[in-house]
Amino acid sequence: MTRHAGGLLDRTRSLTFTFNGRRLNGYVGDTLASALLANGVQLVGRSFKYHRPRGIFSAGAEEPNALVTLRSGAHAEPNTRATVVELYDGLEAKSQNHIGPLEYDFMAVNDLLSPLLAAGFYYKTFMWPRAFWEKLYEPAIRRAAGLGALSGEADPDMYDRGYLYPDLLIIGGGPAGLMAALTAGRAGVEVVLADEDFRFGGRLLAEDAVIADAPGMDWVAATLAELRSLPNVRLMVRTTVFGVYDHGVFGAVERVSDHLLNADGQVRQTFWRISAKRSILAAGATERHIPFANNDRPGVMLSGAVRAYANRWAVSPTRKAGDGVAVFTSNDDGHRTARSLLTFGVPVKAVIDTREEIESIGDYRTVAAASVTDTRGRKGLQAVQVTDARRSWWLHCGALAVAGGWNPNVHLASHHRARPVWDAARQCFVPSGAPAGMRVAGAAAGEGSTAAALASGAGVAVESLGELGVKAVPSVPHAVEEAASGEAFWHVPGKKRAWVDFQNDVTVKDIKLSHQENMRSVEHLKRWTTLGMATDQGKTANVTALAVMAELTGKTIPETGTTIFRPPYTPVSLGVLGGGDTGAHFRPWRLTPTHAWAEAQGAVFVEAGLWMRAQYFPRSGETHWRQSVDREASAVRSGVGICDVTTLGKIDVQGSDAGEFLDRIYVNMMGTLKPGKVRYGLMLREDGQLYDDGTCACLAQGQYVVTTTTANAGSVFQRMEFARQCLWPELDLTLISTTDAWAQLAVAGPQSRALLERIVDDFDLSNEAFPFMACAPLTICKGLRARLFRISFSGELAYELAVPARYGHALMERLIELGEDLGATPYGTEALGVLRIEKGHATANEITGQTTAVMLGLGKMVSRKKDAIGAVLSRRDGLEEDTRRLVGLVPVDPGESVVAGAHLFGTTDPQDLAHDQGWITSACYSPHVGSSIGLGYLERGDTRMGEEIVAANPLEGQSTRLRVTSAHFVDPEGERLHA
Amino acid sequence: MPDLYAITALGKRTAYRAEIGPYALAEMTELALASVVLPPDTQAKPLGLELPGPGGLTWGAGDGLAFWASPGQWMVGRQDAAGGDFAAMVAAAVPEARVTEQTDAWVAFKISANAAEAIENVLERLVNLPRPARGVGTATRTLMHHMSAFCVMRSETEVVFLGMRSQAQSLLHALEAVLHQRRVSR
Repeated sequence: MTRHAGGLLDRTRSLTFTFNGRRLNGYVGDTLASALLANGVQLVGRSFKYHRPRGIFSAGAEEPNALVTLRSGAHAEPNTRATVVELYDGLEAKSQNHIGPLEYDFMAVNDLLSPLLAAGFYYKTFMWPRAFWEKLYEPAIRRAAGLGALSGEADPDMYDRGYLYPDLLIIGGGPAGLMAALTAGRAGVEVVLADEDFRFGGRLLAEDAVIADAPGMDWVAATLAELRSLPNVRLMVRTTVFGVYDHGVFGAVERVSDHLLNADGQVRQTFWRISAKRSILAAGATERHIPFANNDRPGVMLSGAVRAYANRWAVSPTRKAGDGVAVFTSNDDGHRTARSLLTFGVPVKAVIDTREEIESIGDYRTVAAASVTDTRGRKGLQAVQVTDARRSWWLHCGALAVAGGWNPNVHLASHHRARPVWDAARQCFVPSGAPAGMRVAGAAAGEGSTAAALASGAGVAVESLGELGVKAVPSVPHAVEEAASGEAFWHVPGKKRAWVDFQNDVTVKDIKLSHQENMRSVEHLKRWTTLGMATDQGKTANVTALAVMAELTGKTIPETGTTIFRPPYTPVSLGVLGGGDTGAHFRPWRLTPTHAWAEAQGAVFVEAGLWMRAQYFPRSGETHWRQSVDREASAVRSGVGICDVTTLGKIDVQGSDAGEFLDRIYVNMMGTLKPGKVRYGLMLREDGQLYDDGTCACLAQGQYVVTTTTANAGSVFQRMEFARQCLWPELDLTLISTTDAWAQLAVAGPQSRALLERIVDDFDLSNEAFPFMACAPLTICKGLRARLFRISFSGELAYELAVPARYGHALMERLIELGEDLGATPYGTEALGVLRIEKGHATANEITGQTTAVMLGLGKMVSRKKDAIGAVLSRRDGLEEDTRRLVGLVPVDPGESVVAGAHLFGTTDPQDLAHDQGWITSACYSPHVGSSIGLGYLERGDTRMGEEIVAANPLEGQSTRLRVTSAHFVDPEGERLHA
Repeated sequence: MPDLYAITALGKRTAYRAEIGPYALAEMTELALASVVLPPDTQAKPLGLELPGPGGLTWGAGDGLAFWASPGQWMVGRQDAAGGDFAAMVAAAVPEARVTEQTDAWVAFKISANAAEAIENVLERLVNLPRPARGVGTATRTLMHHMSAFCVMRSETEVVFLGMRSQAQSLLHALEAVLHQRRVSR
């Protein structure tokens, strides 16, 4: 164990976990990374491309190396950063991306082949033969390179979502964020303070800072106590704000039970959408390293991380207790690390500082004007080579802390595409042009010292509150200023490989090669080398790479620029983005009033938009759906069938101008419709193409019910509302959707009247009293209010009967029961389709948005006596002269099938676009005709009755001879309708 | 009385009711609703109910309720009147109004709890609205789990969600899931 005294751990609560099956111990308060280091585990993974041994590099979300798979089976989660995993009892972690044991990875052979695997190698090496790329090269490269593997099983965890509307969202709970929260909380506004860590404090957790003459953590504790006492402040730990979206909306993930072995019914994570009036980004900064030869060995770490492990987790990052640690730095921060290590008795071998005339701030040796030029130790660091102006020598050490300065975490401030600007004094990019309402505080703004962070947090809080009309007077505690000078030192020149991006194995040599191959813009550099494209998004690599490229091109860093920052800030699981709705609950469903009844009958259902509709009702002995559908369609033609048509849209239109309004919505006259009558209507799009069709019933003077197709119910209502509110607000009318309010059953067939007569209360259904296209309110079954419409989609004597939805189920039961002797049969959407094709009625197959009333043979319905939406443009050239017409089609050989979608050609014409004469819109097997039939649009179809044509389906090599017929296969004279 | 039986929006003969941790979730099958549109500049108090302004709700101790639906339009309801012709009753009470039957257009689920905090925990998971828009005495239409619904806040310990009747199963699932999760949350 390399654990020493101190730290922010609960040593009374020991935890057991496994890493690659090995049982290890840690404490409450540990991360997986700190616990591994405490157990002397330095080697935790293999690199992406070269399979180089890799260790823990950081102590936070920026970690490029220590990616592990947590848990097992369906709960396995690959590519988890050990540095942010809160340790829990029973945690199970495995290393990834190796073949064979981690210590002896077979794929490490890739490292020997590294000269062949330079930047962009796959663009150059695998060009021939071309066909091999997809089948051989790419799969092989993907197998060799990579991250963890998915379990392949469904995600068993639960997720949920939530919405917050604070006045002020503060992102990051370090000194700046806490100070901002305290200032705003005391001022009484609604505050959300979110931090990705499982503990508030930010860098104060990792430092030995002094605030108000006391340890920094005392101030954190007191501040949190006060914030918890404020009802207007919400503290959210384990919550990563990962993206900034339009209109002040932020995406955040709260890890609710990731830190628990047994979630005990709790969700794993919650996806929060936070709409904040103002926001403060106090996300801190990420330390940068200094590339030098073989700088990727386990044991080489960021200096701030080494300090964090020492101060927060009481761990020395060496394999054995007592091994010394060296520090390589270009700034004062490295010396703070040395001081912290010494505090806990960890031997400091030397601080190698790139600067001249630098002195130690503690009892350790400082080597000034020197750098680290190589390392030794295959699976863990054993020695570093130190080089100064005069000589090189090897220094034995168990770990090396590298301090190259700090990069503010500008990411969220740049999510609206703003580019950060270079601050030459601080040698870093700082935010500029942050999203509206956002201010940046603390280290994220370049104000990295504790004192500056506290002042900055309070300052931006006061500014944000001022914009909200709230005055606040902050009380900023005094903090001891730390020395913070440094120099820009971007990499140690050398011939060996020096890693810049650890996760994607990008070295300084790769950047040089990219420059040499003219991939010099940052965007090209990124894509040629894959720098910054790994799961860590190059948090520890990007700025260093820019600096190296700037050096190569002779430009300045700001001239070189940055790539675009995009959400998410850190990886987010797709499960939580989905909000927990999966499988059957992936989307809402709409069920008809007779759904439960149909289910009990064994109906097969089909999706129709959000609706689930009964497709057909199989009976025992029926082994194929066609048998059921043929039986149902025949029952309608010979007896009576009942079908739930509730899904068709119903729009209640009332008002003194309702008729005028309907005249403008429909292309045919509708305002003249008398009470008690129904009329078929067509609606056009603004461009003159067909939009929707349906019936309009006039129930009383100024009171209509418009029906729409199932698919367009919502959009027609929306369109009518738009017309009412925006186009003709002067008209007096009201629109209410009543689709769900009424259960509507189609009762169709020659026996339909006989059946209905058994349920209506004193209502004359005779042809004279209630003719075709009549409607009436009435009562049925001893007093139930209902609406009856004599309309027909099947071509038979038919009615549609509407009752309050709660009675639909019982009405269906009653009709089937009372109609047994009449052959009453429930039918589904398949039979509905067969019946309407036999009758030549159009549906969405014919009204596609690319067809017209003229094509449907209904051109005369477009009234010239009035204007209506789309009427004028329906008369434009190209539409009015369209000669394609809806026709019926039957196969010349009755044994052949008509295939919907097939295109129509003359029998001797070539089957190409130039000779295309139309297409088949709908097809089915017709029990009435005794063969397959179809509907289709055909050039001059109305003049070609009896002609033979060819339906071609080039996709499947089909070619069928068809005969053109009337689209009305059943009762072309309409006698049955009027029976 | 008609000799047909009624079913609930969930396809059952009896109303759904469940106790989930500190919550009671109940389907309000007897809630009758009618849409009321008044001519401009007309004042009316259907069934004695004050018609509130945008986002507002009138729902006192009695069975009657009214909430704003759009300019000049309100939803008027009564908790025990679904069996009759409620729209006709409202129309008779306000002859100058346009009244549309809405009882079976909606499914209503009531969530109640002893503590306001428990209801707040649920609302912040379900309703993408700022607190003032979903405070006591408001009825606001919103999108929940891809479904349109009214969030009707009768009191700080009782909220009613009105959703499309045909989506009753999906709405119930969304509510149950949230309540179950709140039941176990620490």
